Amino acid sequence: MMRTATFLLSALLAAPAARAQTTNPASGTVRGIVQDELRRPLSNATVWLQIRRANEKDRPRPFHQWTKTGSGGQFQFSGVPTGRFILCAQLPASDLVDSCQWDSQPPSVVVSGAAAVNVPAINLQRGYPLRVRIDDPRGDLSVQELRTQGAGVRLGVWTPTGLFVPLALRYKEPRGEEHEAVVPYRTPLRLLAQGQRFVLADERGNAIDNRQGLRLPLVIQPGKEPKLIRFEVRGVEKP
Amino acid sequence: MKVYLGSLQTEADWATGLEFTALREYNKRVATEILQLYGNHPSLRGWYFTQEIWMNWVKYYGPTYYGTALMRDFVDDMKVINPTKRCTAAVVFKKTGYGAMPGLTPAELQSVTTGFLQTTGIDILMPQDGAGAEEGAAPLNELASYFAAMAAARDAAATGTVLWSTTETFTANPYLSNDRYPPADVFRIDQQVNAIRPYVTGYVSWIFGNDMSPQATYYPVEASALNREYRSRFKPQYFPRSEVLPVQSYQASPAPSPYYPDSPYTPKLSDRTGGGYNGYSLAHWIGFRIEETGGVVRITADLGSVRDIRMVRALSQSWVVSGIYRPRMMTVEVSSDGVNWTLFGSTNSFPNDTLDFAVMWGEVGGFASARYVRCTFTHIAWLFLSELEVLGVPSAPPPPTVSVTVTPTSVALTENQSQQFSATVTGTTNTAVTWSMSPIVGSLINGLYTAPSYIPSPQTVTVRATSQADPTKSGAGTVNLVQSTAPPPRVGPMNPDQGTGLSHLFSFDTEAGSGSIQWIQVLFSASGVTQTNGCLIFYRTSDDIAAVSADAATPDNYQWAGWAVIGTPGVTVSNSQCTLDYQNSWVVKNGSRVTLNLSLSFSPNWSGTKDVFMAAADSAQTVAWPYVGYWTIP
Repeated sequence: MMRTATFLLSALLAAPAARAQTTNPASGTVRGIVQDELRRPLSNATVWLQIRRANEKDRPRPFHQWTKTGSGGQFQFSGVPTGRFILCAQLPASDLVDSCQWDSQPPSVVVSGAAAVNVPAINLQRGYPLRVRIDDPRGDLSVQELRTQGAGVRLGVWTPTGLFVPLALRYKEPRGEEHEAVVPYRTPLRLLAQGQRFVLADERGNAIDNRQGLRLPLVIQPGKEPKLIRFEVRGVEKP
Repeated sequence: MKVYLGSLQTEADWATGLEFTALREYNKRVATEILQLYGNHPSLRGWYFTQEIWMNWVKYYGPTYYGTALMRDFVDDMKVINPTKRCTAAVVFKKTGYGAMPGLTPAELQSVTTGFLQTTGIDILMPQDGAGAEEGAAPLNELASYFAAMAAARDAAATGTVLWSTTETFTANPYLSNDRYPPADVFRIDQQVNAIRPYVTGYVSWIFGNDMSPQATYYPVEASALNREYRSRFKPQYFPRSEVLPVQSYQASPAPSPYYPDSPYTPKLSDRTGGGYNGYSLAHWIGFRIEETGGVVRITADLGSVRDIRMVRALSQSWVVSGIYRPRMMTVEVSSDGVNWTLFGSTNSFPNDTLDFAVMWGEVGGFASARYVRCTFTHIAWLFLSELEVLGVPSAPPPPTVSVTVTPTSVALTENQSQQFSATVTGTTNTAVTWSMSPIVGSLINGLYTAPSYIPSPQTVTVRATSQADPTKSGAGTVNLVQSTAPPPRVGPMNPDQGTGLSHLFSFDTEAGSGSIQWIQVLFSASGVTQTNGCLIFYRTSDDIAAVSADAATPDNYQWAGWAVIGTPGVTVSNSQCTLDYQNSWVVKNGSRVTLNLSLSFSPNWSGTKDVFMAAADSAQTVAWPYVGYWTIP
């Protein structure tokens, strides 16, 4: 996990202009760099600047911006209102952990007036692409998903703070599908597999209770990564 | 051997139908007589309906077509005489036609064949595959679809009919005059047989005889070679491959008659013409007259090196009215040095002499390793020879070089785009390949490459097909991935983005930057971005299902309290903080935009101001937990 860091600095780094999603009259600037754990700059990473409450009494207006890093990994947000912000970054389609989803204590920055704030590098850690395959030997899944609304298999990972990271579909073929999420190493996780309208079984053939689903505890250790986790659709659940 | 005897047929029957009744009676009589004489012979399996019914006519004339009735009557009659004998018919189908022979699609063929089988009750349907006649026939690459259609018709008709193929083993050669159907090459026949293998349970070969196409049999050298190829290809266990060992030179003793001499430039016994292609020229023959030979002719051939010899053949002829007779005896000796000779074998087993011109091979089989072959013929009157063949073990062919070619060789893709690659494997019958890619970016299933949903930077992926027959051989194509430029998904605004109340209808707006929104999450929390003592709602667009987080005392207990489809009447799901009223919640999907309208109520016990955060994912990227407003619970 990354540690909280608050900065109130000025700097002069060049970076692409940021896009505001919710505008607020403001003039601050935030600059920084995104790099991997080996301190190599990451280009084309998406960096988010999200407002947070500065204290219990604070009631900020919603404000968040995103920008892409340049070839040197640098970024810059302009027109930032006064307030406290967190910064997080992601490099989609990579094996780097999305710090916006996983970092419970992302670096934060306070912007005041027109000050330019230069933040230390945001480091994206290498994660593990956790892959789950749903074997569907009879093709029940694709048929039933079309036939019955709500029928499907829920796959996701509970983070240590109780947030839910759904696994994204990698591909689908007539006899199964594979899902994936990049998860951090050395972090206690719970993999959720839950069928709805389907009888789902784990790798040992044990049926999974659809009401609870299977919540598989996982801690991914470097060098001891799990193989592809498989479940099987054993049929359609009777109404 | 399985014998199916053909039915009677006349020109009048075929052209006018005037003899239908008489023929039906004669067929019954003949069949009855044959069964009395040979009915118990195990080879006699049944009857062959010789009328060549075109399924194109069946389509044109419909259910009342007289040809269908003719066959139905034939089958009925034969079954009455002996129900155990099976009836076969070699029907014709043409892909293209005209007039009363309109073309047939596979679907049409399936339809007309179903009715045809149900009417006729034929036991064995063995359509002519058309590969030899060609005209109007389905091309080889469409043969499977036509036979699949007839197999489907067979199944649908439920008459117990089996489907065979009449494999046309001749070829239509437009450069030959008159009857022009010499034998096809073995590779085409191989294609014919294998293209339809899944649909048929038997094959019958169909080739023109000498009476119908002289070209089919006037090529004795080529016909022999094809015969050897057929046998070694289809029954290699019985007929191992052999090849003609080239005769480098030969000498005849005594020399041929000056009337029919050899050629000093292209020696006739090794010119591979087989004596020419008709019976009217002896230009490719050498002749020996008994007055000059004393009835003994000796041909000594040099193979150039010691070879493994399995058979020695000589092509002679008989034409008695011209004084030409077959050899009385053919004796073969072999030698490695041309000095010391060993008997290889001999034969007098030539076909009987014929008044008119006929060619005939004399064959002597054996096993020897030798360089020289000496054939001694004894003869009467005139002896004519046109070819001397020495067959032997083929020199070891170079091991086939397996090669793999992948197409396309290069393609540029953006996120989520796919490209089907195909691999062509040559040099082996095992054309299976294993697909792989490097680096592993995107997905690859059976050669179908799909780019990832997000391409952070330009990249080249190599898609490789590796031969399973020879894993050292592979081919490759490249995918140039074009960097994604799509923005991440937008989340918010939440409406209202602030307020007070125990319940409210909130809307949460999102818009995909790439593809479509996959899921949305909303979190009401008093302690930052954490579910603990909060109200977390998950919604998935693919099935409109939503869930509310359950109370969780520890991280081990994180769970969903319940799932239901948004809008479901009477459904609410709660935890200690909030309740989602599904019936009064709904979703608006408008292109890439999705607005989630949630009817939420809060527990009075959870009073205070709660921050609201959202997360969402589109087809490529995720936005996680920006703050979108706050709500005060009184």
